[in-house]
Amino acid sequence: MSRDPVGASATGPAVVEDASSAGAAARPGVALGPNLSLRPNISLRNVSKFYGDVLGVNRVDLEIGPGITGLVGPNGSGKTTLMNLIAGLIRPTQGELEVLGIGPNRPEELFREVGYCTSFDSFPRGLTGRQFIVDYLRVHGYPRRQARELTELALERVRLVESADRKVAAYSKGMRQRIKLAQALAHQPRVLVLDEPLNGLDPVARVEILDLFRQLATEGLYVLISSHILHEVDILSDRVILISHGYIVAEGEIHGVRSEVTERPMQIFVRCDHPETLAAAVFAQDGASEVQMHDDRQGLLLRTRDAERFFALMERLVLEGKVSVEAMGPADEDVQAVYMYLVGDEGVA
Amino acid sequence: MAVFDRGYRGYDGPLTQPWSRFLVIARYAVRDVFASKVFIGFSVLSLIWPLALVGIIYLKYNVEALTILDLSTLDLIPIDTTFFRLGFLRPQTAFAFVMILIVGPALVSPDLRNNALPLYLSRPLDKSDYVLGKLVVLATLTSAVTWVPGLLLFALQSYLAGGRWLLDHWRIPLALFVGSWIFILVLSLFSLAVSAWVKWKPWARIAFLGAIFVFSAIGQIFKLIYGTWWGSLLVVDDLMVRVWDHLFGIESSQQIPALVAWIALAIFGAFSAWLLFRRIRAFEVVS
Amino acid sequence: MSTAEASAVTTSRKGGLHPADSLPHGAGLWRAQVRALLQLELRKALLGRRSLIAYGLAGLPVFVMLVLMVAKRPGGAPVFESLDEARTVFSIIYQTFILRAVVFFGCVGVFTNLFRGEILDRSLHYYFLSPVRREVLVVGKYLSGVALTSILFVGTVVVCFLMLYPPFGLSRAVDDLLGGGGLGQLGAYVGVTLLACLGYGAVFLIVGLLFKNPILPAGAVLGWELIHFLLPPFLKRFSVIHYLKGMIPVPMSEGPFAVVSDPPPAIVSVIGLIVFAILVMVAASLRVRSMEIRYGDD
Repeated sequence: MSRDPVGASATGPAVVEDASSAGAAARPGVALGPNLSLRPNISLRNVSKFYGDVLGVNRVDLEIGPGITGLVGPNGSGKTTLMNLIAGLIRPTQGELEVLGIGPNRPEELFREVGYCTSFDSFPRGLTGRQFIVDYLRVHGYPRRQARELTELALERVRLVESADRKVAAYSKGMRQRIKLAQALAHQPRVLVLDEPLNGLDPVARVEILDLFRQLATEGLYVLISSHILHEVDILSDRVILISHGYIVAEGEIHGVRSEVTERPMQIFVRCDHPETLAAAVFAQDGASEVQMHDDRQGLLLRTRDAERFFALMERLVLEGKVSVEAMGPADEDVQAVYMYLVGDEGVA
Repeated sequence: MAVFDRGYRGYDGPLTQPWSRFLVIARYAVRDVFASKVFIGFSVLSLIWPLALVGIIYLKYNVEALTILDLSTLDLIPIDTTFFRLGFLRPQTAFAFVMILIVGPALVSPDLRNNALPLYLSRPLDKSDYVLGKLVVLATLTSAVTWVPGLLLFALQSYLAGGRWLLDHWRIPLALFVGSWIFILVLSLFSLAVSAWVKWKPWARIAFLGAIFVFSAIGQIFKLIYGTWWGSLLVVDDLMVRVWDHLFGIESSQQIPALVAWIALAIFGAFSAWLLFRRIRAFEVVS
Repeated sequence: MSTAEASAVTTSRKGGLHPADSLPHGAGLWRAQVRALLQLELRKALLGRRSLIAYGLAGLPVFVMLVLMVAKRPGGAPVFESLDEARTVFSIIYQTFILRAVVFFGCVGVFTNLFRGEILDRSLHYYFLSPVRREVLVVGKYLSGVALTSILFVGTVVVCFLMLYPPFGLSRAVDDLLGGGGLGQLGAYVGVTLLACLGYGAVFLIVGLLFKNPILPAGAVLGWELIHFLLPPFLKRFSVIHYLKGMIPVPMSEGPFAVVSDPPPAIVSVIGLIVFAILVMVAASLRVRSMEIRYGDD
């Protein structure tokens, strides 16, 4: 089996208008055939998971490439189920799932490629941080010396070397998060699935761990991160998967997702010398639904359903010298805004 | 100057009486217990034998039915102290033991495991209320299969046999009531103590059964090898049997003196309560 | 090691080699994994606070033997008046206490919790996320349970047996152990204890996997084993004690109500219990293979 990572391929944006028809929707740029994608990405096709009568996730179609992908959704939306499915902890009730070309029927191969930092804040009893990692690496089959080397690398990456010989039970919440992360990283997987990995970390550790994720992404790893903290997802990943009530609501690069949310006017801020002129021109063009003047009267915020037409107008006004623009940009092209539009305001920070 | 905007109002409505607050703990614990179908099934099963005894007493005084059903042998069964002591109390306390085994060790351990005690005890509840609430659960369940049906059975027999029989056997209801309560209190306190010290439900159940069985085995060995009664001090069953026999006023199969058995059970119960109260506290000790 | 170095090592796998590429395959890998599982499980079991109960249980027979050594019978006669009598007393203690109470409850505690304990601790997923076959996991965990109970209870048996000798002096002890059949008896008790751990371990491994609340089935097994002497010969075969009884060097009367039947030969007992353990492991493997991580609210 080839272990060479495959180059990044940004999956095109997709907003699932009708969640019930998600199974039928093929993603742009993704070759989905009977044998799933030909590229060894993380591929889910029509995947459902039911716990008895309770829905975990339903008819999920996803293609996740290398780099960081954020998984966002309220409590009980199916984030952990989705992560458990990808990590091989549970099997789909129906549908097909492959991680780097490995299906759930080859778990031993799968678990060499996947590292999973679960949301369970629990550990085997009585072990120190170092023993925890070494011993489970030995269960992988590594000889003691190699297990120790890999452990040191992992501990170094999460900056926990100095505390590694203390009992995990005596760790702070942040240290427990880091030792879990180290354990997930230790066998050098190509896919990292991280369920709320930043919980309990102090601000400094948060920055360090975010840097680590970015570094892992640049190394070609597939990093799937779930979080409630939309701001962190926003600064960490361009690609997001929005999930709600077990259905994928949207997935793809965030600006692409935003541009597909056409029923919501796009918010654009403009800092310029004559915002009144701009506002009048915008209304004359009949393209804006709302304009708000900034308090200092040096800019405005407008909502428009036709951004292309607005940008053309701006270009004309600037060329004609009627306004001089200091700054301009989208005001709601972030995960927070997209999440609010598509999911609502439940369970996010 | 700091401005504190108080956006909430504390509850200033009526409160329940302090003496009744332990019932909240009991109520929720009973609800959890009856969420188990296995337990409901077992509870029903444990009442079958008393119903059978009701049938025996009824038939014994219904000559016509005895004749029709050709059950004249039933007439040979004497309804007396032995009937209630061996025929009723012995099997029913066995059912009560299993109930305590299932329910008791699971009552405190989850609270300790989930650090819930500080939450309980930050309410207007103290340690005694908490323990009482848990104890009431066990007492209610086990009473329903021991002294309650026992007294009903006695009432039925007295009604059918007449006032003379009642006067002749006045010790039976007393012995049923007191004997059952001694059994319930001692074993319930021990099960709660085990539950408090072994935070983990399955281990707590194993530890409860194991402790009683293992100490009984040690006691039996001492009895067998030394040929004296003092091995019975380790056998809860021997102590109970001796106390029950004393209460019913019948000759006992156990050699241990009644007073010693009473004292031993009292010490056992007190020790269990001491162990239990040591663990019930409103704070966590971080070691 | 710096982060840069760490990063360099991690990144090196991009070149092709993964640390796992150098691992053995097939049976070699499984052996290494079983060894690792054994070590990890024993470390958790021997050093954990939860093991104090098991240690206490294993220490109780020693305490009983101490009492018997020190406390005399009413009338002043020692319990161990002669070596033969001491052996008879030991046999009683072994059969009524060590085998039926200590080893039994020790196995209940250890084996029912091999998987159930990890589910309650919410740590089973660390194993399930490791590239180890579930069958290997079952074997590793079962062997760790056998190792733990054997270490504890064989140790107890050896210590208790040797405690028979102090009243008779060192030379008598050496003579009896080497030339008087003492060592043979000790070996038989050790063997029976090992087989008991194997047999009861298998029973409670599957009980722990099948039942959320293992105490009721464990109680049923206890009852079944206790009434073994009353069972008809056919039903006796379905109890562990049936296969152990014949190998105990000093038999004990089972009372006037016992249904007498010939115990199986030692070789049948040994092979039978090993085959039983293997069958249970196959069943346990099937169960574990279908398990998914869904920690409840236990």
